[in-house]
Amino acid sequence: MNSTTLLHATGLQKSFGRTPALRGASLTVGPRERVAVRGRSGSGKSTLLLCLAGVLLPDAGGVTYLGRRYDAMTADERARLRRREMGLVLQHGQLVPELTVLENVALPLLLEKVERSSAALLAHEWLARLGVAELADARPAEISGGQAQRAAIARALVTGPQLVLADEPTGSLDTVGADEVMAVLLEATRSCDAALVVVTHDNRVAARMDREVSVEDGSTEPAGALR
Amino acid sequence: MRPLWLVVVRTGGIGRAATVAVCTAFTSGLLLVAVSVLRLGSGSIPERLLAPIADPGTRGGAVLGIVLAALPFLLLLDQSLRLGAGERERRFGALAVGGAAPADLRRWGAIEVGVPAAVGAVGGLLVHGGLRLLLSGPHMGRVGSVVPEQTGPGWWTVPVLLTVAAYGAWAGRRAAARAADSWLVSRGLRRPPRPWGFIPLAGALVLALVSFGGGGRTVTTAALLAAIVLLVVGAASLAPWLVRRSALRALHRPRHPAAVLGLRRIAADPGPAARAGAATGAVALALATVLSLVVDTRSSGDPDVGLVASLVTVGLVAGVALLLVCGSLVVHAVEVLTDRRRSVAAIVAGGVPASVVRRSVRAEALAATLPLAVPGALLGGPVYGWLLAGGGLVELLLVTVGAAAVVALVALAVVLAARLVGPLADAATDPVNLRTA
Amino acid sequence: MALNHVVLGLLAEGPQHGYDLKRAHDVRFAAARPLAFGQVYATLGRLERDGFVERVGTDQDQGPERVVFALTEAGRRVLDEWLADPEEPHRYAADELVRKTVTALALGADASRFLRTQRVAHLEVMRLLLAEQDAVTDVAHRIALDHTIAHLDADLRWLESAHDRVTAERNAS
Repeated sequence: MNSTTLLHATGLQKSFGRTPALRGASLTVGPRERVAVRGRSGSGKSTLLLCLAGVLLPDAGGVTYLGRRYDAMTADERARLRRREMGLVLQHGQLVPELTVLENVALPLLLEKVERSSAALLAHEWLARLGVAELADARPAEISGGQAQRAAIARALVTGPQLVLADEPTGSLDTVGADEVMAVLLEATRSCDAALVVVTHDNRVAARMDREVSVEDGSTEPAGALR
Repeated sequence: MRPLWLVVVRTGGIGRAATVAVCTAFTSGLLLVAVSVLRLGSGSIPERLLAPIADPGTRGGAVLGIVLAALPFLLLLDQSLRLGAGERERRFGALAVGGAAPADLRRWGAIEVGVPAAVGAVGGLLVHGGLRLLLSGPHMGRVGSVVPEQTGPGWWTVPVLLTVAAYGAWAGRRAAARAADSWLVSRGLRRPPRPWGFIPLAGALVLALVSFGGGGRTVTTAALLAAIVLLVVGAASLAPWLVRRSALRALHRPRHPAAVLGLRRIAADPGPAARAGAATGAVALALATVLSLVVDTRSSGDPDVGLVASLVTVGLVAGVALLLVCGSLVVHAVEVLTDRRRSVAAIVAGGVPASVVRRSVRAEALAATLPLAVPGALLGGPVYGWLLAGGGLVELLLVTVGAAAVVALVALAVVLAARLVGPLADAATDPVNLRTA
Repeated sequence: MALNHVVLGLLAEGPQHGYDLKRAHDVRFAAARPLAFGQVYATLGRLERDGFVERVGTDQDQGPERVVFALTEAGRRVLDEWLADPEEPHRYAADELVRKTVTALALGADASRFLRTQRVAHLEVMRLLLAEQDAVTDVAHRIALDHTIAHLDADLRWLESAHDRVTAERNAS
């Protein structure tokens, strides 16, 4: 592990009850790198992503972010690290229904005790950059899936993270919608100089990344550099 | 843009906040009454009071009875925190993805429940005043006042109100922590409940012995109140474990599919229903205690009108409490069915009759309440009644029969409540629930 | 090659001369090989002989005189009939890729190295096409690219399922 590694995970094992989800998965991410994590449903790739984000703690193995170990931090510290340094985009269920789209995007900033008007400004900027500025006052229930994903991406990037983790961000979208969201996600992470890890089973998405890691039955195999 | 904490805290809904406030109002009101009674001196009292209250010897028992009457409200409060739990889990999940730490979620939970609890606690002053108007004064006549008019809670008011409000905040915080956790482990199995509850129960027993064993009045009071608190904590935390163990044991024998469905459901997630079960245990305890005291007065000869009246009061209060508890069970059953309507509709579409689903709700409710109602009735009946009366076989027989009657009454109330949920159970089986959103 | 119908379809937009038709074809079918003038005029000749197109005038606009062609009623009918019938899906997969993959899988040895290398190659092409698609605004061009990308995607998914089936069968025996 060299000094410019952003995220380093080794030998991750995780079981839910008696079902093993991860059996020795490993992954390294460098700054500004783009990695696709590919695998069938049930292969453990979503669990891997949640472990990388520090949302779940593995039963064995460890994850470090810029040298800091997750298992040495409390759940609160991990949450704080995550909202400052990372952005998380999931397939669905990630926007708070009772908050407006703007408030959802500003959420990480508000939690960081950023002043409300500055947070609103920044959130507006990001919504505009993603082409959904007019949805600021709408509720999540009133917008389409593609628009919700754009809002989620805005929220993931609003704190200027070093790393964006996305779990099947285009999973529930059709081909054209998926292409648009991927293009937006790539451009936005590029403009932030952030690294990107995308869990996907979509070949179109995988094709846009620098590197692909394959997850099968809970363990990882590097499938090689794509360029 | 609205302040974040305000929006999140208000998502609980006005209904939930109102229920919390009402429950804490009655709890603090009853505790204030209990404290007023405790503050009565050992000398002669200027007003005519109900016999068990007037007599310093039996005063402890009377106070216990009044405090027990507050228990169902506390447990109903705990149950009402279950309202909208599925939604809360999803909301907290979304907040967590957006960067909220568990500490943030717990803090919001504490405010969400703590504020209405504080409002309700202060409202308890009104409840105390109202009870005083109703249950004391000349119109109580020969029977005597239940609530002392001349003596008030005094400086105890502040600690009582603070404790009640603090309990609300703590309960809200705990509910938030549970919702935050369950988002993460929703895909895995929930950890089975552990019987830690025995520890506070043991502590309650020790403190009860201390309080009955004499010592200064403050010590006795403090020990008694602490014992009550530990009893509540112990019973509430032991309940899920007890319910789950009983359900698993009941599954060993061959059963009707409705029973199997209900028992499996409760074994998988005993927590919320078990708390309602704990409330029925408290009610059973109260009713059985009342019956024991009635038997005791009978056997000790001349029936004291005052005592009988007070016992009737307690009986009525317990009846009201039973209604409250069954109401909370209904709420819980609705919550569960609404959360799982997709799988419920699926099994009905697969050929299981809807009547089986309805009956499984009944089985689940009984499985949550009986394992707690029976010990409660036994504790209040044979144990308390026989130890108190210290007497003959006839008394023992009577209190045992009384305890059995109490258990039967609880079962009846639960079955009726389950019957009420019938239409909602049918709504959950509707094929429209199979639609993909 | 059934250029007849393609030219009829181009003429449905309005009367044009041969040069316009060639340019219109190359824009509409951006992924196909550009049309040669000889082919255009040969096709127009055939269509005129069969009565599906007719000469409607000449266009004298800076340069040599060019004949303008238009669709006839009969030509319109032929075009509509062609569009009403679905295209028969190809029954025979004669792809080189198929031959190589099947051979690799059949030879019993661990074919994962071949599959991985093949996957990388496919993904590289797909990446270039996706980048091209992002840079292009013309709808016809994007549709053409979609088609190629979809076929690459289909190949990739087939590589995976073929591997799964062979592995499953091997494990069962």
